[in-house]
Amino acid sequence: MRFVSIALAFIISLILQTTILPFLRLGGVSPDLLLVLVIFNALFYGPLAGGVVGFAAGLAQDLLGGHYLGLGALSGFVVGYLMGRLERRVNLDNVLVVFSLVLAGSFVAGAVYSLGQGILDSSLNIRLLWHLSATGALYDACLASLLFRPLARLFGGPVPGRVEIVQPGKIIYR
Amino acid sequence: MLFSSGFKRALIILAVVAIFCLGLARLVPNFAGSPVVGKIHEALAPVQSRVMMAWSGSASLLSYFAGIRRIQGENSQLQQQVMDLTWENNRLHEYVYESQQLQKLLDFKNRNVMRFTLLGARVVSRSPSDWYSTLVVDRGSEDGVEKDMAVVSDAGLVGRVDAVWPHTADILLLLDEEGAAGAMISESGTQGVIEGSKDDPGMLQMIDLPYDAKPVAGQTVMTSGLGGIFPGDIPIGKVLKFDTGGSGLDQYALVQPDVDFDRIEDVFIITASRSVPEPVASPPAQAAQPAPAQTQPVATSMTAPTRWAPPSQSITQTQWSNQGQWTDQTQ
Repeated sequence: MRFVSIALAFIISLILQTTILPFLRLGGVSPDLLLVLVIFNALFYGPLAGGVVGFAAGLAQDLLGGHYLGLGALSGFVVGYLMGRLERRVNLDNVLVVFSLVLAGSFVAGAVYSLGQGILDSSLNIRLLWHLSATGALYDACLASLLFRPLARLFGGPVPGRVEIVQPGKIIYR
Repeated sequence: MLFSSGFKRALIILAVVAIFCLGLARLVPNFAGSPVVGKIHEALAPVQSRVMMAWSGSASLLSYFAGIRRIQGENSQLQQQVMDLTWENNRLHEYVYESQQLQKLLDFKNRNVMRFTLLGARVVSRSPSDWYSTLVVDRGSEDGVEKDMAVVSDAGLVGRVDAVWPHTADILLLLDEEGAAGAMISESGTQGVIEGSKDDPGMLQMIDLPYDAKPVAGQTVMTSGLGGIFPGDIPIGKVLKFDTGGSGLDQYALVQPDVDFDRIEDVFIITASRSVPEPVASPPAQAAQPAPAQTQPVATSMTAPTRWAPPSQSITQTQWSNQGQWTDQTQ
């Protein structure tokens, strides 16, 4: 059941990503809800699931509107994989933690995409890379901070009152 | 260390995937028109279309609420603008009206420049009492105004000067019982006296009519020139009805005045009048006698019933004037 809900969430966010979210563009960038889902998925289900889902989500984005087939997939995979390495090591009930993780993950995704584009085009614009990646990361982090509770529930994560610390620095959810 | 255990493995995986993806991007540079992409678009299009429709509706609703404050500001600004423009519009209407009135007066003056020396005057006040019909104008003895001078407007006879001060003068209107004038029905030549109606305020009545007079509604009443105050042939009004007064001794004609006494704002005081010869009769002979008479045209006015120049006749008179008469007079 949870798998279906997560899959549905990805499809819905993919549709939103291609319809409504471009209208919420700020500073030349629109929020990447799909990437936020990829990050949350990776944080809950580890590097393998994170990488695969990130790859698939990126590929879907490439197919629906990307210029290079595979570049979005690469950035999705990198972020999913790296964030998956932090699986259940962080407290996702804290909005600041969520904000920081999504900020970092989104920045990495933007940077990987821009770098890949630079390699393929043979023209790397560091200033544009920084601008798009940083602004996009900030936007995604804000979006994730607003949605972190429903997203945490969706991925079976921490609900207030169900968190139990059994080891210092590690959180177990029941 | 966070990545110590599988760091190498992670690097290898990332490198493999990166090479794969970059290779894929390099090898499939133009995939937008591929069947796979087409199928994905086809599958998502209905949903995307519905989402966009819903978004458009909610976006317009959101923008409506977001724009309320802006609209309120604009609204008050526009209201102020409407008030300003309305005020300005009223003022312009006033100017237009005034301009039209002045144009009429100018036309009138031009038409009658041969007959009269006209002094323009502005009404500065009206009689505060209902018992007397007088006006006060802004011209007085220092402007050459004298008692009993006739006062006209572009529409016709207004009254006469009743009292004079250095800078102002009282005008006794024709409506007043004491402002009677010698009158004549232009169509029939019937003589009488015109005065303010006792029974119909704002109307005139023509009395002292001959026993056999039968004025008809619509006939034109003009000054007769008799009496020594008013020059002849100045329009007064139109006959509305004729009443025999039972015995026939008190018969009178009710006359609608041409002048709107309630709205009159500018008048002319006739400070001098001249005898104008008939233009059609013999212009050269007339031209030889140019001396403008400073007296009232009493009996002669009856023999020249068209000297009050209506607009249709003014051209003829002007043309004739240009042939020498006016030049002689000014000399």
